[in-house]
Amino acid sequence: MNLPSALRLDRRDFLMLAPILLLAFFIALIPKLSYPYPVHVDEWEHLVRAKTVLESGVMTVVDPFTGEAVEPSLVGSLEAGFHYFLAAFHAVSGISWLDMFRFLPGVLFAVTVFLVYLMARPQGYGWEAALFTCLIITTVGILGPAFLVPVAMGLLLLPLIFFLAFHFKNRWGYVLIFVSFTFLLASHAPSAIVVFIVITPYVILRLRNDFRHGLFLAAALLAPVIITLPLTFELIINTARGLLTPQYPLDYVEVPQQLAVSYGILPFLLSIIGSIALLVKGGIKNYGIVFGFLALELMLLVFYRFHFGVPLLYIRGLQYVMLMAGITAGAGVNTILKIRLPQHYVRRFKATWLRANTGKILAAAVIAAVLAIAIPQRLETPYYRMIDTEDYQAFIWIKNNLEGRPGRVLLDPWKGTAFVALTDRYVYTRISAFPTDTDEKAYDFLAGGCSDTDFLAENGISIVYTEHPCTSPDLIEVRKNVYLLN
Amino acid sequence: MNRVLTVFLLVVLLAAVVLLAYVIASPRTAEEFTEFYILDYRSMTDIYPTGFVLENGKIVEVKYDGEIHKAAYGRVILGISNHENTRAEYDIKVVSDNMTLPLYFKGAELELIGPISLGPGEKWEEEIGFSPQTAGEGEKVSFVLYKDGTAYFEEPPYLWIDVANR
Repeated sequence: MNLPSALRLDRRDFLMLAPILLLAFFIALIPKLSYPYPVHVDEWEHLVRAKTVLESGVMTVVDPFTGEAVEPSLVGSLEAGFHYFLAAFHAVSGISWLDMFRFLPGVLFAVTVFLVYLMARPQGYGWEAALFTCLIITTVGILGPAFLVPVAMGLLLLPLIFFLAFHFKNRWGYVLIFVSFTFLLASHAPSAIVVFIVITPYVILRLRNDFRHGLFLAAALLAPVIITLPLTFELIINTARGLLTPQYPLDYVEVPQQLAVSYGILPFLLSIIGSIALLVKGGIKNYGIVFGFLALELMLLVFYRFHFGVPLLYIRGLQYVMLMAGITAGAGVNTILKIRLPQHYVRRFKATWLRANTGKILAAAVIAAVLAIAIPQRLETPYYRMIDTEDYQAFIWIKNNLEGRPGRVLLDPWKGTAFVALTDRYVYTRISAFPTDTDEKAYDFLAGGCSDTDFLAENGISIVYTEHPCTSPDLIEVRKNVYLLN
Repeated sequence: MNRVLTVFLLVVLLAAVVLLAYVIASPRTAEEFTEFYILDYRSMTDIYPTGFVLENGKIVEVKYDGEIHKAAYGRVILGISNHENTRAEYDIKVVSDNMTLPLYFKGAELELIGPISLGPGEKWEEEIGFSPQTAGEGEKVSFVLYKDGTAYFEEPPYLWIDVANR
C-alpha cells in the first residue's frame, strides 16, 4: 500500500523529529519529575471518574466521592468520552493508574507535536512548528499538556483534524474527522467549540475553492453536534442566554500579559512574523491557519476586553492560542531561515559562506535564545502538591487495612479527591473548585481537636485522617494521623 | 557537513534518551519517614482490647468489642515500615499513665521490644500482648516507638481502655 506523500518520512525527518519529540515528552513530564502522583485536582477527579466508569458506568446514581444519592444528568457526564478513554486505556494496557497519569501526558504531547509536524511539513515549516509547539505552558490555572486532562486531548486533535482536512479528500478522511470531533465533543465540549472556531475559516475558504471538499468537511464537523442536539439543546440554550450577561475572567487564570511573559515574548513575536509570512505566501492552507488563529484571538479578545462570552472557553482557549502561536512561530523561524545577506555585502567582504548560511545562523541563535529562556522557566513553574508521600502511604494503609470498616472518612477536604482516587472509599466532603459550607464544617471539626464525635456519628463517619491532634476519648489513633471512632 | 550533523544529532539523541530514562527510573522522594500502626489480633481494625479485669494485681479477662477472653494480656498486632532510605533500629514500649506496661512477645515478658533492625523498605508486623497494672476508666495506652534510641512520635498511637477490679 502506498502511503500518501504527506505521511512519507525520510531519515532526515526522523533525525530532526526525534529530539523534538523527546523535548515534548520532557516538557510534559516536568511537574512530575520528582513527584509520582497526579498534580492538579482535575487530574485526581478524572482518575476517580475513570475508575467509576470501569466499575459502574458513567451515569451513576451515587456521587463517586461522598456516596450520596445524585440524579443522573447530562451535565455530570459532559466529559464521559475522556473517562471512557482513560478506563479503556487502563484496562487494555494494564498500566497502573499512577503511571498513566505520570507518563501518558508526555506521550500525548509528543503525539501532538508529531501531528503538528505532519500538518506543517508539506508547507515547509514542519520541524520548526513542532519545536515551538513544545513551548506550550502548563499551569494550575490554565492546565496544559503536562496534565492528563481533556484539554490535552483537544490539543492533540486540533492538528490531527487540520492534517486530515489538508491532505485527505476521501471518505476515510471525513470519517476520521467525524470520529475525532465526536470524541472531542464527548470529552471536552469547550475544546470542541474552540477547535470548531479555529477550523471554520479553512472550511469556509474550501467551500469557495473546492465546494465538495468544503461541504464534506462541514458535514463531518457539524454531524456530531446535530446528532446530539436532542440531548444538549437545553444546555446550549442556557449557555447562549449566559452570553448576554457580562462575565469576568477568574482571578487564578493568567491574563494575556502574564501569559505572554510565561509563554515567551520572543515566540509571540515569531508568531507574528510567521503569520505575516504565511499570508504573503498565500494558499488556502496558510490562510486557514492564520485566519483560524485570528478567529480564536478575536473570541478571546471579546471576552477579555468586553466581557461577553463563555468563561471556560477563555480559560481553556488560552492553550489553543499557544498551540496556534507555536505553529505560526514555526513559520516565522522558517522565514528567518531563508534570510540571505545582500549581494553587495558578499562581494565587498567576500563572505560567500556567510551569505549562504545567514538564515541558519540567525535561526539557530533565535532557537537557542528561546530554549535557553523557556526550559528553565518551565522547570521553575510552581505547582501545588495535594498530597505528599506520607499522605500516600497513609491512604494506602487505610485502603489495605480498613477495607471492611464501614462508614465514610473525614479528612482535609483539599485532600479528599486524592483520597477517594487512591482508596476507593467515600469521604464526608472534598473541595473540587472552592470551599463550601460543608468543607468549612470539616475544617472546624478538625481544628477543634475532633471533640464533637456526635458530628461523626450523624454523618456516617467512622475514620478520621488528620495531622491536627485529636483528643477525643471516642477516637483511637491506630496509626499516625489515622483515628477510628470507637 | 551533513555527516557531521547526523552524527552530532545521533549523539545528542542517545544522551537525551539515557538521561530521560534515568530521570524516570529514579524519582526523588523528599519525604523520609517511619510508618507505625496498631491492628487488632486478626490483622483488622474492628476488635481492639477495650476492657480488662484485674484480680490480685493480674489481668484475668480481656474484652474485645463484646467478646470476653480469659487471658493475661490484651493482644494487638504492631507494624513498623521503614521509609527512611537508610537502615534504622527500632524499639517499642507501651505506656499508660506514665507507667511502662509489661509486654508479651514470642513467649517472653519484656518491658521493651527491640532492637528491631529494618533496612529501607522493610516491614515488621508481629502480635504482642500488654497488661495494664492499675484499675481505672478511660485510660490511655500509648504505643511508643523509638528510632535509633529517640522517641519517634510526639504523639504516639494509642488505645482507650477501661480496667476494672474483680
